[in-house]
Amino acid sequence: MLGLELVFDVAVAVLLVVLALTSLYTPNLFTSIAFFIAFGLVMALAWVRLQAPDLALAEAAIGAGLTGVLLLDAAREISGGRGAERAPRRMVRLTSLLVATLVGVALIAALLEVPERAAGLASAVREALPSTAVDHEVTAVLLDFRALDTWLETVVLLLAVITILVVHAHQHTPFIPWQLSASPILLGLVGLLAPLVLVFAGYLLWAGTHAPGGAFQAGVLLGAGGILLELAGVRTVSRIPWRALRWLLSLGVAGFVLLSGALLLVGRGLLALPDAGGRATIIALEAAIAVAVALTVVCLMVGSNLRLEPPEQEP
Amino acid sequence: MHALTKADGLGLGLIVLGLALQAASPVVIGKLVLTWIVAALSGSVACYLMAHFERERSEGPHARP
Repeated sequence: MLGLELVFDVAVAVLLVVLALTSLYTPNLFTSIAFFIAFGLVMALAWVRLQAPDLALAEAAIGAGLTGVLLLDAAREISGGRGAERAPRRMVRLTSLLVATLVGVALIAALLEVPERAAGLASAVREALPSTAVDHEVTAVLLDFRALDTWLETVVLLLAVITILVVHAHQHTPFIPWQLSASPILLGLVGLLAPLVLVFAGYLLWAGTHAPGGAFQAGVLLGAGGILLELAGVRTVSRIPWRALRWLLSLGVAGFVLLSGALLLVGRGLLALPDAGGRATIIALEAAIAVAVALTVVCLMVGSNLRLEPPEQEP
Repeated sequence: MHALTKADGLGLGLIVLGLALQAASPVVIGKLVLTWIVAALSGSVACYLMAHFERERSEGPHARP
């Protein structure tokens, strides 16, 4: 049976390289984006083969789904879908080839240094797992041992969405042409998929405590459902007034700030979760992060359709 | 291209059938069938949408149905 697995793994690795090369060297922009989406999905498969299902979920949702949608939207603005008119200069190409070769050689050398059975931190995490309120190692690392890193990630996401909204505010053409989306078939499918997405995202959020899942995966799935609704003309997030939306977008950061403030007031450390009620705290924090991530993801798409300032008062 | 698109609908259904024979519990079979239904639905709607928008692009937004 080992031979079959090896064949499959080699096939996935070769397919990754082939998809990447095809995506880079196809003249048609739309085709290269399609191959990039396929590359993201095969990468998710590779993560599963490397026994990292959390990463596979995130890669499939973000790498293949969300990034593909954003790239398609950007491609529509660039020269009607055709690729670049001029090939890069020879010096640029040679320098890129040199840098890529150096990085590749360094990576291979580093890989050869790794011992055959590198334990990593998995055993240490597994030993410390009973002291946390969750049963899944990845969630324990993300929200208990290294909660500070997750806090900084939410700050980065907030900065990203602020930047994108500011950039969109200066454009005059909205990204989503709602008048083109009045298709009853799309509405029917969205009517079927939207509750499914909601239930599945809620399950991923709750399942993160004992199985692969968690806040980011649930948030991105919810955001993908929101984008689907917006594309079908069902205006959900774009109807939220900016006064409320900016608070909802910062819900992840705010959750961490409130939690740390409360813990510091009580006398514990900065992010030292309480023993009693720790699981509920983690789930509440994950829910806040998921909502913020979902709204961030939808704002990436509908950012130019939002009205950021309140309506001006008529003199 | 006709043969290519069969892998996404009927091919996926047959794969689901094969996996269902090895499934651990009826819940897993239900999930597999649900995956197949969603994949088939979204595939057909995506095909319709591509044709619809291509027609709109070439004939204008108020083309006859």
